[in-house]
Amino acid sequence: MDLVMKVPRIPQPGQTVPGGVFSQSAGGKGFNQALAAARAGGDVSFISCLGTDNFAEDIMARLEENNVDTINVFQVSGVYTGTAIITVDDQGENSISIAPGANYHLNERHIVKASPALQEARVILLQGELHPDILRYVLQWTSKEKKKVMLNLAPAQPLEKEYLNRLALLVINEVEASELLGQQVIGPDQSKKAAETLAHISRGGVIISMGENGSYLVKGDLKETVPAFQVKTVDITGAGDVYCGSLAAALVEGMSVLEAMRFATAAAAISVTRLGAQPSIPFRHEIERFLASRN
Amino acid sequence: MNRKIAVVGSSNIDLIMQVPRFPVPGETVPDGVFTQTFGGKGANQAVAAARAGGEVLFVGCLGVDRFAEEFMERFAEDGIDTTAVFQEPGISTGTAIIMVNQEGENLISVAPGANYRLNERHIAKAARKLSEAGVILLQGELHPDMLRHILKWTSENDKKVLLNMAPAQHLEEEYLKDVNLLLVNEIEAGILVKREIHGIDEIKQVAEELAISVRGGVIISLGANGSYVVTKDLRQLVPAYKVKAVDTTAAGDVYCGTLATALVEGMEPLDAVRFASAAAAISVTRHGTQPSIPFRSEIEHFLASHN
Repeated sequence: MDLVMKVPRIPQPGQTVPGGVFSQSAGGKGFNQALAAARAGGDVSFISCLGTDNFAEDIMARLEENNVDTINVFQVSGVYTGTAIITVDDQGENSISIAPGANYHLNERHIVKASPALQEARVILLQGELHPDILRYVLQWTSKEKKKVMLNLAPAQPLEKEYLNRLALLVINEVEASELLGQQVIGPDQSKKAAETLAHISRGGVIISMGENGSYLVKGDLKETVPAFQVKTVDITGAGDVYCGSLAAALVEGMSVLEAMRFATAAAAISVTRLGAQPSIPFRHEIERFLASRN
Repeated sequence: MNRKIAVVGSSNIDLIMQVPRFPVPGETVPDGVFTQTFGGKGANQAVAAARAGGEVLFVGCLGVDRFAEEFMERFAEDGIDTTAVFQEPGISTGTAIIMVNQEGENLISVAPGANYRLNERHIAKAARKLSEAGVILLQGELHPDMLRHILKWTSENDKKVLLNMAPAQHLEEEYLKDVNLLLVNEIEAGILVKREIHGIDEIKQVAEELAISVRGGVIISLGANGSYVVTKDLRQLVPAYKVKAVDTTAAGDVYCGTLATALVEGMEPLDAVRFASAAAAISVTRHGTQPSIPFRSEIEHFLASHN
């Protein structure tokens, strides 16, 4: 749950800043990507862990409204649903603190319980926000069961080669590539080079998103840039999640990787023209209309 | 005996994030621990008054959201009359975000939200119930316009008013003169007289100055040093009870709420102050805001064991 406080200025230690405006909205990379995949036309099962509080009820309601299967959304008592406190000042500067809460209570038993849904899935989409232990556990399971895995390693966390080389697709941006490679990656040239380096390890394929410069795919001998669409950007929050979720939905339908990237790029382009995280996630018909208008 | 107390004031959901360190602008700090509690001076004082045995009407304004639902349940659990708790759409229930680092320092930002939507129409709607109250308890967290409006109403309707001026806001003498009891701490007293206060002699002096404007009486709470009481025919320093303090959050609210209950029951002023001091003493030995607020039986037990 994103708890957003807009304040005239960000408080200093010991200070109380009055005159704030508060709002809240469901968030989290997993949640956003599940919603994006469902709105893009995917048949989505979300596997996650919430508390037993009102935040959990709100998140469940949002998932159900979007036809996401919540049978494997677990709830544990004694811990709050994951929260992020986002303080934004008048200049748009923000400071964020995150409490993983129930997210970090997703455990091996939950994955076992969710295994029928995982077995049925054509693609399993994971993010770097998962606890490092559970991320490894899930990757071991998917490898054993020969499942196709897309990993959006955001935020970046170190991951051994043995896990990376079993991915069907690794999706990252420049910042995450920098952290994975331990060197600064800036601009399209360095991004492409980074993707090529990472593709030696993540042999299933690597996509690096380069913002307005589009996204670049390295998959075996295939190296291709899918350009971004020119749009009037108002809020880029959640654009990466929209990209990943709609990319997964497109791939499952049998689109080629490049077609799927174009579809995901369109979805992300629509999302940046709108304010807010979830309200900005486009529906299938919007993506199709956008693509038709840009052809 | 009229045991009815009306508390007009704020309700905030406190969203507390404990973090290893404070994020600087542009930064995301992971590994926080989140908790949510009920707060707001009005709500805290209403709960304290109710648990101390008062028959409490809370007059306040919430949004139409989950936080409001949670507050309504909370009030009902403490037997508080919520018929004058209003809900306004399109605005969040009042919230405070409190970020606490490992050194115990905190950063606080407050969104008054629906609290600042409490308006004159609401007071008019609550008028019948307000007029039944033996005591009306107000706080400095009320919007300045509303505070003046209510004080005008209580004066016209000849109601007994306890005003806890926290945080301190300046108020003209025409409003202060009909307050029956002004409750402030040293800092708030200092802001009201526009100078810093040091030591008991200056506190006594300031209490006398404030008592000129507030004809009813003045209590300055001094934390572990007790409270200094000035009424028409009384000057007394009432010592605090010695306890092991673990969390002083909301001790002032407990003091004000329980004092209102004691006074409405007809206790003598000094007995009421002792009762409130005992309640505040219990609350500082416990963690949390509303969980720390004691019940009547606990206060009586404490007083019996400290006599």
